[in-house]
This record gives sequence, structure tokens and C-alpha cells, in this order.
Amino acid sequence: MSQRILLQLCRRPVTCASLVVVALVVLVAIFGRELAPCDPYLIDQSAVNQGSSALHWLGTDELGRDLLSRLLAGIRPTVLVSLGATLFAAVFGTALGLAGGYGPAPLAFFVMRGVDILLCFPPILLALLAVGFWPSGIGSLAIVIGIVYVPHFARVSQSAVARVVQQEYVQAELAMGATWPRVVSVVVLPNVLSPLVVQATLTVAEAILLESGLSFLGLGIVPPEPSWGQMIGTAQDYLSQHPMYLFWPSLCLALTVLSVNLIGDGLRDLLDPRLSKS
Amino acid sequence: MKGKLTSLSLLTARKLFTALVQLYVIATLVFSLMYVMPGDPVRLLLGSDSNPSPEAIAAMRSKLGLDQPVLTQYAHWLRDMLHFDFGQSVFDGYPVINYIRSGLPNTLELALAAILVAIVIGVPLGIVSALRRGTPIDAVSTSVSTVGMSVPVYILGALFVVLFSLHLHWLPSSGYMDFSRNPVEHFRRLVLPAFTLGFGLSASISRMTRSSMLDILSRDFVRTLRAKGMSERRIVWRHVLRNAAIPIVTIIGLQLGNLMGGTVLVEAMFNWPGLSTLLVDAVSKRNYPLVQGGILTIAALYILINLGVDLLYGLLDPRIRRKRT
Amino acid sequence: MKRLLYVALMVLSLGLCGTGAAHAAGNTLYFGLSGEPSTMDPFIMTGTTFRTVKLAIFRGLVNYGVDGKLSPELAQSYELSPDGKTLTFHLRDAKFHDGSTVTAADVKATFDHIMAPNSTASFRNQFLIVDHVDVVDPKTIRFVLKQPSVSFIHYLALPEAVIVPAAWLAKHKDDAGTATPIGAGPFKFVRWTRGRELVVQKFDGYYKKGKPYVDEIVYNFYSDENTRVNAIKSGDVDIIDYVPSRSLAELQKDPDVRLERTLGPFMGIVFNMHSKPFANADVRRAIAYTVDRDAIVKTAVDGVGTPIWGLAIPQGYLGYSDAKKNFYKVDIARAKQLMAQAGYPNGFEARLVATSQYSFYSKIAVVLQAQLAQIGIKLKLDMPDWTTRTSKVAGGDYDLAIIGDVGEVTDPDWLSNVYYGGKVPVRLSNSAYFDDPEIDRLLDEGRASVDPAKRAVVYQQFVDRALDLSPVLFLMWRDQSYAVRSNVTGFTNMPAFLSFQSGYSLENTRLK
Repeated sequence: MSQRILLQLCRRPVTCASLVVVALVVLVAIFGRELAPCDPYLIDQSAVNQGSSALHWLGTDELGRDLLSRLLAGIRPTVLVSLGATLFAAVFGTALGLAGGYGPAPLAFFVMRGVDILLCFPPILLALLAVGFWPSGIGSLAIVIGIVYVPHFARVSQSAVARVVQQEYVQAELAMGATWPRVVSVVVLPNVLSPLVVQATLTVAEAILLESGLSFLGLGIVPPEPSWGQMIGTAQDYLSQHPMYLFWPSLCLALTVLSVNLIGDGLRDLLDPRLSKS
Repeated sequence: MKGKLTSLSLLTARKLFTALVQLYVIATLVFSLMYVMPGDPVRLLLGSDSNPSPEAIAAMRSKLGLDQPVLTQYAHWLRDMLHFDFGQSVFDGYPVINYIRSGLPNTLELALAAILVAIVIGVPLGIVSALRRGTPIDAVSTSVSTVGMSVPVYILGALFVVLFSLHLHWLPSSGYMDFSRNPVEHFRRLVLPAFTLGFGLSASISRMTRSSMLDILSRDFVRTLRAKGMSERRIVWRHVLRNAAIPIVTIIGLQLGNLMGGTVLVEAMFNWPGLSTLLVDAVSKRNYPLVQGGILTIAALYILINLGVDLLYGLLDPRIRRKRT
Repeated sequence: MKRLLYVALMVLSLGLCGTGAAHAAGNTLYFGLSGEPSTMDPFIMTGTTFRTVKLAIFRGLVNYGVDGKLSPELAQSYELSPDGKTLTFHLRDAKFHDGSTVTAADVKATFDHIMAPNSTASFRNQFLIVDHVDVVDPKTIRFVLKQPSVSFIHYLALPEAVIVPAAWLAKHKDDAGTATPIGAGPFKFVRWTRGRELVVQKFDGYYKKGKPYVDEIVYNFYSDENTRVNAIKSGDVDIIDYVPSRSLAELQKDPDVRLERTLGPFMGIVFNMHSKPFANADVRRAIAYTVDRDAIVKTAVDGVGTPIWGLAIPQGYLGYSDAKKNFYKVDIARAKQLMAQAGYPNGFEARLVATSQYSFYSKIAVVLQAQLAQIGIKLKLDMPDWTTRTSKVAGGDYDLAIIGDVGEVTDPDWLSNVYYGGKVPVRLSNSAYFDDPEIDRLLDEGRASVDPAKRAVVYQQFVDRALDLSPVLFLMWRDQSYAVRSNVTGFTNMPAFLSFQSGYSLENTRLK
């Protein structure tokens, strides 16, 4: 099924391009360090804030480090955090949503009220509070951002589960004596997968934005580890001297998020007809 | 009618009650979060550059009531909360409510201006792309809105600053001017942050407008009207828009609610002295009462706005199904 | 319809472009501060920005004048007894903002408050040397010290040792942070609107006739660096503090703005003596021969600043010597040899505490990490936000840490805060648990020596030992600049350590 969807996505030019971009991003995340022409941590006091040159294709930053290498090296933390956060949110959110849509009534009530309350917290403030708890690092950042998006997954899965459970064939299975773990894994989950996948792409995009927003504020991924958000934050200070410093990481970030969003759009268009209009 | 009113008031009462419970839980959560966080405000209060004696630290803790057991502090805090007394700032004893009163109007002003920008850009864009569906105009406007959603707000802001401030010198790049000191300048300062925030929001509004209009345009009654010979223009302006308005209004309301906590980055970028700025500063200084009061205010506004949207929705037409983005 | 109206409004506002608004005429000075004060309690030092406000409102017995020397303020003269233990002040005729006369009783009340056992005064430690304060007569006050100290009078010049009315202290024992401040300085407090502005107004009863020259000062708060710089460029404010180093070049070129620059605070590295490798002086010396201060200045602070290759003693201060200025230099071979000598030929791992909140801290940390790797020291960077960082440093929770500080006084006794062992072994500006009896002895002797020639000798001995043991490694002088609009005269960026006390010169400031 997923192969068919992938093929259909590739047919549209826009979504195809987006898939290519995302694939590139993931590849660089895995192999980035080796691909980088220079050492992204190498400080060179003679090459501060330079523009493009033969040695530094995209120029250098305020400590003389090669921008291109830092861009390439900065992909991995961003990808790890956003994927990690989405995974965290998906697993816990779906579990909560399952409980909310299928579990006993009092449990469902409390779970969904809890989800509502989490939604009241503005995401960036929640992240700010949580960042103070844990020492910064990719793992803790992924968890913090993941927590922010748990309610979104919970909502989506709860409504999907509630809908599926009402279907006649599910009732039939239950009447025939199927245990609920079996019903859940065989019937409920596969049908819930589509909206979850769409939500996942949305979440990946938002997680990237949130992580870069935190790094922009100086709180996410801490130096000397490069991160696009952090580079953008620092580059703002040098806007008049070295505008390209801001341009390149901004371009990369915007392009990546845009591609993920476009894929999400494409997926929704493809999978939507299957979902009953809610 | 009477039956509808009673059920409506029951609904309102139930939602209000839920809202209050939510607020209470949030408040408790925030209270507990702050006390578990590392970092000590007493140290910072006594001077980050000097070396206070242990006696001084102890004296300050006791003065602030920080040495009492947590449950006692919680009880006192709850009691104060019921009197709308959010306590005093840890550093100078200035009432938190006054801090909030000084920062909240600025955040609200920014949020409202941003929403207005989003509506002005998003709704016409959505209408146009719905009416010209499938044409290049549709493609262009859909892409513009997708781009608007994807570009982080601080990049957008930087772009606007570079263009309008550094190159064209039309607008100042940051800062806040008191309205009473110079009203024209005050609004000039509002333009860039409002546009930065509003541009991203306009994306979801334009998308919702488009899909809502497309939905209505495909309805039977529209076909009937066309068959009757009504001009397309009249159909759109008089009938379609009115019916499509509800989901659009819903999403505008939701976005406004999200803006309550969503102005953090823009306020930081443009040095707009709103509630979020106060809050971020309070979190970094572990100014517990201010953080609690601030988050509670934002959460309360969010809940209230959502409540309003829910009720408005139910009031306008309970038959139209919700479209959650 | 409403939409059109709003669009029209927007266009109108856009159309009303023009140069930035100059504030309304009138003799009001607008000061852009880099931060908002957190408390009005004058005895607590919560940050340097509040000192700019404090020194408009308050005066002490003495203060530092614009020439960097002690200037008699509320005291018109004073004498130190030959044995250095009794300091007598003769007060001049001066009034507080509430109209009451400044008397010796007010002085005694102020210092009793500062020295009380549970006092929250930031510099209480510096006053532990006082045995008691005597009111000789309404215009004469006497400090009797437990030990002789030539340095003590300098601590009375601190902005945190200003004089307030006894009646005010009695009334505001518990809410000194929020009560309306009453001082004897050139400006009196009017109002503080949180998040917006703090306003002070000319005090007609100021004891220096004719001063101040401006009628009102409005302090606005600009914690964001870029906004602050824009505010001075557009004329929203007349003066700003803490000009970021990267903006210096562009402000230099601006015809409407003048830079007042000095080298003020120093940046340095402190070591935790309980952290095994750093207890060994050879390791510290090795690091001193490895760190390339020039590179740090060039990269971490955009080239603005001066490297320190010896001790952070400004030129002209007691203890300074041209000969010892460049004691250390980069010598990796020697550093490696010292490391081997200390028993760490392959280096070791250590945790460096800095902060991600201030870019010059985080950049210096990154550069240090790269440089120390050359001798095998693998640094793990621990860079939380400022509050957490302060807790960690004050609690000794580090292997090494980056500090930025000034000497609080121009008297060489400022070194005590950095080098003395004493009862509080872990402080914000020292190397945790550093305690060398010889250093302590020299500092005590320097403080107590009344003979200036003897003092000079003692402090040279101190410098030699401090350079040898190197418990603190000084990196560079930080540029400390104020930017002033060209129509403003009289504001002075006071030299070296006193840069943060430049608010004193607001009494001389004029608007043309």
C-alpha cells in the first residue's frame, strides 16, 4: 500500500521535488560529516565573516568556521530532534488517543481532558519551561518537543479510533468474541494509520520550526554543535556586515520545512478520499 | 427557539465549568513545574556579581516565603488566586498583576494587528483561488500560502527588516514607541512585527477560505441559484460568502487563541514589550509568581477565546459540521 | 468595508514615513538601558544597569568622580587615623529628596542596616571589618575598624553604600525593594512603569549648586542589542549603555553619534581547586601558556578588546607594572612539558561552565575548547542560561568556568575578592576553594599598610606570586562603550573599572 502511495506522490511534480529534497536532507543527515569539505568546528581567526571564496564556498561565520560545512553538519541534530520528537509524540499520543477512543468511559474522559489541558500551553512556553529542567542535548530536546505534540496525535487518533470502532465490522468482531488487543492491532490501527501519517508529516515540520525557534533564542542546541536555528540567530547580529550568513541557513531551513509540508499536503490529498469527511 | 436557548445555556454552563477546571489544573501544573526547576532566584536577587552571606540568603528566602513547605506555599497561593492576587514579583515585590497589566495590552495589540493582516491577506487570496480553481492564479496563491506556513517567523521577520528597513528605509527595524509619546511612530513600529506574524497566519486562513468556499460552491442550492439565472457575482457575494464564513471565522478565532502564546519570537525579534517577553524573562530568572501569573493569563485567554469560538459556532449553525484543520 | 478601512489606515501609516521621531523638545534626557532593574533596594547589586539609575538618585559619603579618584560627596572632608583603624567624616550641608537634612544619624542607620547579620546587602562582607559606627555629632561620623585598612574608604564609594534617611529605613525595613527611593543625589525618583520606563526629575535642593543641568531623565529598557543600537541611531534615546562590539564600527561612522569607550571589565577563567588536575599549579601554568588571548579577542569579540597576558590590573592602578604585563605567551611545547610534569602527558577531560545566553561567553568557551585540545585537555561545554550558570558558579559546580568581572574599587584591595581564601571559599569571582596562606598574608598586609611605598612593594610581591600560582587566568579586557548623541555633552564613560559607575556623570550632562 505504501509503495503505491509513494508512486502516486512521485507523479505530481511538486510533491516529487519535495520528496527529493527530503531524501537529500536525510542522506546528508546520515553522511553529512563526511561530506563536509572542512571541519565545521575549526576556528580560524584570520577568516572571520568572509564571503564566498575558493576555500569557503559559502563563506565563513563570525569565528572563521566554514559555513557550508556547518550547514551540512547542522542537518543531523535538526533531523534527529524532529524525527525523535515526532516518534515520541506519535507513540505516546496514539496510545493516549487509543485509550480515549476505545477505553472505558472514565479513562477516556480523563485522558482527553488531560490532552485538552496540554493544548492550552503555548508550545514555545512549554518548551522554554522544560528546557530549564534538562541539560540541553539532542535527546532531551526531542523529548521536550515531543511532549508538546503528544496532544495533537492524541486528538487525531482518538477521533479516528472512535470512528472506526463504531463501524459494523468491528462490532461484529467483538460480538464474535475477539479480544480487544487483537481488535486493536488487526482492525483499529491499520485504519487509523492514514490520518496519523498525515499528522506525522505536519509534526515533523512543526518540530523543525520549534527546535530552530528554541535554538534561535539560544536555548535549543547549544554551541559548538551547529544547528540551523542557532546559525540564523547568530547571523541576525551580523546582518549589515555579512548578509549571506543569514541567507544560507534560512534558505535550507525554509526549503526543508516547505518540502515536508508539501509532502504532507500530497499525502492528505491522496489519503483523504478514504477518510469519511469528519 | 426556547428549547434551543435552554440547551445553549446548558452547553455554555458546561463549557464554562470545564474551562475553570482546566485553568485550575494548569495553574497547579505550572506551580509544581517551577519549584522543581534548577536555578535559584534568591541568588540572582541578591546579586549575581557579589557574594551574599548564608544568613542573607536565608533571610531573603524566609522573606519571600520560599522556606515554607511546598504544600503550605501552594495553599497560600490558591487562596490568593481566588482573590485575583497573583502575588508579587520575587525580585522587587511589585504586584504581578501590574506587570501583566503593562505587558498584556501590547501583546493583544500585536495579536489583533497580526490577525487583521492575516485576514486582509488571507481571505481575499482564498476567495480568489477558490473562484479561479485550477488556474495558475490558484496554484500561485496556494504556493504563496504554503511558503508562508513553512518559513519560520524569525526568518520572515529578518527578510522584512532587510527589505523594508535596511534597504528601503521605510520602516524602523525594531523597538516600541509609547502611544502617548508619539502615536504615528507607535503605529509605524507596529507594522513590521504585525506583518511578520500575520503573513504566516494568512496561510491557514486562506486555505480554509478556499476549501470552505469550494465546499459551498459545490452545494446543491448554489446550482439551483445558477439555474435560476442569478449572476455569479451575486451568488458569491450574497450567498456563498455568508455560508462559507463560519469555518473561516472559526479558524480565525483559533489562530487568535494560538497567538496568545505565539508572539514570543516576534516580540523578541522586534523588542515589542508584550506579555511573552515578560514571561521569557521571568522564566530565565526563575521569577515564579510572574511565570505562574503570566502562563495562567495566556491559558485563560486561550480557553476563553476557544470557548467563544465554540459558542459562536454553535449559535450560528449547529448543522454545519466542524472542519478541524 | 472594515477591511478597506484598515488597509487605508495601514497605507496612511506607511505614508507617514520620514526620519525617525526625535522626541519632544524640552530638557529631558532619554537613556536606553540594556536591562530593567529588578529592585529599587539600593544596597543590593543586581546588575550594572541599575547603577546608572542609582547614581542619579543617590550619593554616598564619597563617590568616585569622573577622574577616577575618590570625590568627597556627602562628606566634605575626612581623615584616617595614623594607625589606620579610625575613619572620621565631616558631613556637608545637604538635603534628602524629602527635604530632611543629611545627618550622621542617617549615616549610622544606613551602615547598621548594611552590616546587620541578616542583611541582604550585596557588599556586606566588605563591611565586616567595621567594629562599630559612632555618631560624634550631627555633622560628624566615625567608623572604627577591627583592623587597620587603607582600602576601606573605597568601599564607601560603592553605589551600594549610598546614604538613605534613617526614617526611610525605619519605615521600609521590609519593602525596600518597592518603596519610593529617597536619596540625596541630583535627581529624585518620579515613577517606574514596569517594562516601559523609569523617570527621575531634577532635585532643586542638590548640594552642588547649579547641577544637574537636565530637568528630567527617562530611562527606557532595551534588552535586545540590535534594538538598543537602532534606538540611538534613530534618536529615540540620547545615550545607550553596553554597545555591542559588532556595532562599534557602524556607530563610529554615524555623524550624529559619538562613542565613549573604555576597557572596563575583564574576562577570565577560574578553576575548581577540588577538581584534581586543577589543584596542580603546573596544569594551570600549562593552560596559561596554551591559551591564545589574541585569537580569542579576534574571534570571540569581533576584535574589540585587549588581550591580557598577565594580571588584570589596569594601567595606573597600584600593582600594575609594565614589566609583568606580558608574563605569559603562547608556548605549546612548554605547556605540554608542564602537563607531563604534572602527570598528565595525555591530557584529561574537564567540564567548562559558561552560558549560552551571552554570545561572548559562549564564543569564548568554543574557542577555548579548540585551543585546549592542543595539549590534550578535552573540554565538555556546559552552557545553561544565565541564572543556572550563576547558581553553578556560585556553588562551585564546575571544573573550570568563564567569569567576567570588574574590580569593585580602584584600590588594589579589589584583588581580595578574586584571590582571598577566607570564610567563603566559593564565590562568583574566585577560583573555588583556592586558599593560599601567602596570598592571604600579602593581601592583608597590603590592605593595612598605611605607608604607600610599603604598599607598592607588598603588591608587587603579590603579583609575582599570583602570576606564578596562576589560580585565575585572565583572558582579555572587554570594551565597555556608551553611545551618545552628538548634541549631548558632559556624560563621561569613567575609566577602567569605574565604567559601570558612569551614571555619576549624569549630573554634568547637558542637552544642546
